[in-house]
Amino acid sequence: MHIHTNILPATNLAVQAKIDTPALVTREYGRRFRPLLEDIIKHMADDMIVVLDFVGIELMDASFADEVFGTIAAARARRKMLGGRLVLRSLDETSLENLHLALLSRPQIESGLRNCAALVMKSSERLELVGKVEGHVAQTFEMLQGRKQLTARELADELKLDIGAASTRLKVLHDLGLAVRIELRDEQGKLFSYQLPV
Amino acid sequence: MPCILPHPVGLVEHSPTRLVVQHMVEEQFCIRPISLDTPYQVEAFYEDLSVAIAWGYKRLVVDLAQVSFVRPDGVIALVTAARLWHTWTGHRIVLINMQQRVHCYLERIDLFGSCAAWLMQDHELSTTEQWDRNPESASLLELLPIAGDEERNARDVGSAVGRAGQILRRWFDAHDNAIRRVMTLISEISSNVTHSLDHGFAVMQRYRDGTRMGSIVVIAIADLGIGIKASLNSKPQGLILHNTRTPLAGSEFILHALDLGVTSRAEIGGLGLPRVKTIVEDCQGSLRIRSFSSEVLFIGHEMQARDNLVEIPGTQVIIEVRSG
Repeated sequence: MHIHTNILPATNLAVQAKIDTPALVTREYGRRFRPLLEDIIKHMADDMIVVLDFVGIELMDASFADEVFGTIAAARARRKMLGGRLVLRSLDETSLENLHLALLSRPQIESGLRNCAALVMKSSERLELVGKVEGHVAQTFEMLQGRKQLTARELADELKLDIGAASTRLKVLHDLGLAVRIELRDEQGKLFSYQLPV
Repeated sequence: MPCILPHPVGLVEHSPTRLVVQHMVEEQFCIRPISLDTPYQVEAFYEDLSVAIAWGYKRLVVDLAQVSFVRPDGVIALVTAARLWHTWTGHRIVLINMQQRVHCYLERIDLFGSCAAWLMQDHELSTTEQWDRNPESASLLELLPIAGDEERNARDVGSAVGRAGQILRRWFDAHDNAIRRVMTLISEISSNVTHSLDHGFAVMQRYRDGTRMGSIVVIAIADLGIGIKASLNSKPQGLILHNTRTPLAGSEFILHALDLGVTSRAEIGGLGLPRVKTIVEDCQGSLRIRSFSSEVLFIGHEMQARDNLVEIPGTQVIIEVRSG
């Protein structure tokens, strides 16, 4: 099944946010940038993907990363944000370190937050999970990385789980914005298949 | 804070490392530092400044005849002294007897332009003496003002980071990641000026490392605001450190500010200083944070704290990293 993907240059969003430098820095700039990105995500169906491309961005610091992607990932984890899947692309090494710190630190700062992660495309067609997730989320994500698609039944068989637990695991991944859910129909009726956004 | 006793007018004292107090002519006080290129010398300069203030003089002259080299922390010390002096007396400090090289450097970083309200030079360099100040040459980061309100701060930080990136790429044949890490240091420290309820200044310089192949980058950023202790205590729910029985030293507040998630804001924050500390540790550099009479110094993973310094308002941050 074809997944609809939008490529969004971060530079375009920065211009809309009236950020007049190629550096995405400070919480203040993050507070201008985030609502624009949230608006795009919220208006997309949850099986659609927005790839935020950092080409042309010189640096993203930890404060900006936390304000934008930490806030969005925390809202996803608390199920306060629905909509399209977000993938970050063409991030330089330092900006990725800054993003990693921001996402890793959120669960330490916000009580009750167990997962806070973002999807980053490090090389073409290879998605990686950046941030802090519980062990079962990381394990399910890894399984999804190794396969094109995964249903709850397949996951249950692979990990020797009951179907309910497998289904919950995949749904958590979906709720965190880390997977796309596709509705399939077979002779037994409706079922969901999950796959990575890219 | 050291005890400050009045000295008879005209007394000149000498110490092995500096001239402590110089002669006064009428209502003019003169500080004559022998150097401004080590943290120790900068502290000595601040001590002399506190003496001048304690004696109630109106005019301050800083005689730089013996100063042959000024690092970014020395520049920031001069700016801090000038702003403080102007706040307390309404007068500008005067820099005199500058060696040609020092004078050219201070003029080149635009010290006399950026700080014209608080500081003046005894004479101006002729145009032939001045170093080239073509902004396109991108060879040096001028003294940059950093606004305190969030909106203008973001703009200043953005342009400081952009300008620093340009310059760093000319200075170094370093990996892009090393350059972006220095840019991150500037960004995170400069944006912290918003907590000060003041505005600040930033300056950066590169030096050749004499003992290794490579360079040292020194970044200095300072404000004259409320300082780290008051900033953390201004948080609506107060600081957890307050609950302890004995009053906490200022250095403990500085250390607390380096913990993840500690911020004076009501919302989520407190990521900048921990990120700065991590980068400095990774680079085997040093991080000095001075706020009022306290200071914390990290050299690599080693930490030293002091709480008996001369009281200088605000926060001064000096970062040194090796690169290349």
